[in-house]
Amino acid sequence: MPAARLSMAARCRAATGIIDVIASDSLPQEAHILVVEDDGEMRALIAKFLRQNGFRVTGARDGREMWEVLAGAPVDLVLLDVMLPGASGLDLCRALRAKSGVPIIMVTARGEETDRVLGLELGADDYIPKPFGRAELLARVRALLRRSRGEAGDPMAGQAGERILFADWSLDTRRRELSAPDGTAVDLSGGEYDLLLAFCEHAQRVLSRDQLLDLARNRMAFNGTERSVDVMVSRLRRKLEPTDESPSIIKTVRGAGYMLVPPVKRGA
Amino acid sequence: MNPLRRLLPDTLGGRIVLVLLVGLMAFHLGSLWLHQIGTEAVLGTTREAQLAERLVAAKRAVAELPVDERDRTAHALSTASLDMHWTRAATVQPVQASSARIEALRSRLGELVPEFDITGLRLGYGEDGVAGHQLLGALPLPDGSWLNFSAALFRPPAAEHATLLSTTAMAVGILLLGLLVVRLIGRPLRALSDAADRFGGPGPVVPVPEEGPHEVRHAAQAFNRMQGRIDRLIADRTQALAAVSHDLRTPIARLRLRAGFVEDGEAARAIDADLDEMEAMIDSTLAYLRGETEIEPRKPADLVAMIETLCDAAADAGAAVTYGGPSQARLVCSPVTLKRAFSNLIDNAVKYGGGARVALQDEGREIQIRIEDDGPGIPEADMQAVFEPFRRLETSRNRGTGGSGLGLTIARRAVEQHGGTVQLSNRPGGGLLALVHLPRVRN
Repeated sequence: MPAARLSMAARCRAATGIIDVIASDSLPQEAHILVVEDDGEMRALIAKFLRQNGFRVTGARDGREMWEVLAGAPVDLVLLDVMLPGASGLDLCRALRAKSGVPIIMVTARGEETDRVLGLELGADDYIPKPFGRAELLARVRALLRRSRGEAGDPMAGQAGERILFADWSLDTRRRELSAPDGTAVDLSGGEYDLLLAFCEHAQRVLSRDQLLDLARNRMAFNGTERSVDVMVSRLRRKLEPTDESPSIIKTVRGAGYMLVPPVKRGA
Repeated sequence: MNPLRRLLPDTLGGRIVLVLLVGLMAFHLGSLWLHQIGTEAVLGTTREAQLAERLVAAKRAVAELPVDERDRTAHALSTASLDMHWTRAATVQPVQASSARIEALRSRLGELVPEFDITGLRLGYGEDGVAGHQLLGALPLPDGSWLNFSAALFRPPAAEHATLLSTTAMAVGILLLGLLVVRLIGRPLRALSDAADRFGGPGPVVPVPEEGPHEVRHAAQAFNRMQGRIDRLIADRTQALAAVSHDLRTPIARLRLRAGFVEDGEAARAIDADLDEMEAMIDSTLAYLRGETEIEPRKPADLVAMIETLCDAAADAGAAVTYGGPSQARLVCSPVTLKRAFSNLIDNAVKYGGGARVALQDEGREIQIRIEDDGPGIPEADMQAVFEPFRRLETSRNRGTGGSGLGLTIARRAVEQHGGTVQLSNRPGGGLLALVHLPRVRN
């Protein structure tokens, strides 16, 4: 248990911005990342930044170079820009997904909703809007690598047509949207979404604050503490159980943590 | 103002009807008058000829008879319009200054019936009424005695009624015709002015239907061409601005990464903060430009969840932002657009007012959202100006603070796209109140 605490503390530190001195705890060293980006400067900067954080990085300027690298060496993760000369990032994403299960992060222009949804529909596992912060890039790369290695034991997100249903609520993982039983869209913050997803992936099981923090961190830079898990759960609950008559969705288990009460179904 | 101008109808239709009315009425009355004159002339001639013939016949009949039977016969030949007596001396005295009308009548009588001998004929008007109503005269017989007569010269009084009636009918007809003309000419003109009013407002550019009379059609064509030119101009500028904003993202992305290699942690943080600000400006510029062309699809959404997310995020960032109100409020809306509007209003309150109190009230037919701050407020004169794009007030309110000057513009446009309003006002106790009304459209 103390060991777990320690590792948690390290993660928290990592996520709060001290990124240069990260003990990438559970990750094996030298994960190989392929950066597909047409802007040379940008490619070099991403590579330098990721190398500094303990990854092995290869750059590719376009689709042709990408295929060459993929043929030559095993790649653990592809960071794929949407805007590429020749075949667009979206086309490459589709082609790549047809051939292999390599984790893909799409780099989209901020605010381009269609790129994001399309990218996730075409099989990307995550997306990161450009311009991105260093902490965000690192957190997403780490989270996806951790998920792809099955450490957290949860299924990959971004499977085409994924929709999670619980107690007539519906969570669209492509659009990151929550709909109430009557179809009303209910807005969630990024952290709330990650937390809800963690609940859904472990429905009807009691999750401790530690575990929730861990699970949510696997998704993205959730820079929280146990206390902030409580705050986040109460915010999420306020949206899921707006009135006193609303059926209970998240239950507090005294001294143990929280639990998603209804069973979860996956639908198209 | 010119008093004549005030009498003139204001609308084109009104003026057309007035011109038609005045012109056609003048024409109608003129032709009526001419017709009347003509009819009277014909009637007068006929009556005069009749008079002359009857006088000729009476003269001949009376002259043949013995003296004691003459007056009786003259009486017997009299009618309502012509009364005749026989006397030895004329009852009508010759007038020294005979009027021109009498002389004209005398010669006309002679011309109309050639065998009528007008020598010695005495004529005059009766004294009993209005001049011209009764004609008196004396006709000399061959033996020196006289046949006296008086003839009625009445005019047909029925003509007055007929004139009034026909004139009224004419006026009504012109009015009906005028209304038709107004509809025919007015409708395409109204469509044109409606289109001009709509132009520049929200929604896509709609060309004016090119129909109606030639001039209106021509105006509509010219208007459509102008609309197209302005639209292209705006599109070009928009594209240029969007391209610049978009392209700035790549250098910003590079800078973000570069900042990570700066040894000085303080400097790196400062660079990051600057980059955040630049990004926010670019984001709002692009959102503003996107709003011009794209309309997000509508779906039911919970406004409270939306506002809570924003309040929580602001509170997490250290601002004093609170929400008070019901735990849900559903509205069919464009959620991303509306969320940005609330986000901008709350950011504005945080930036200038140091915090925000957000309250929502669901009144069934509409939803009201109040966002209050405790800042300096806005000078009354600038209440509208703050909604203008890229407008920032030259007061303490914006000193040293960033922002693109688009926040309120975007917010108002988003709310107006939903048929609502955003009003700013200074609160009596100090601070600014942003009041958002969103109508709930029932389907």
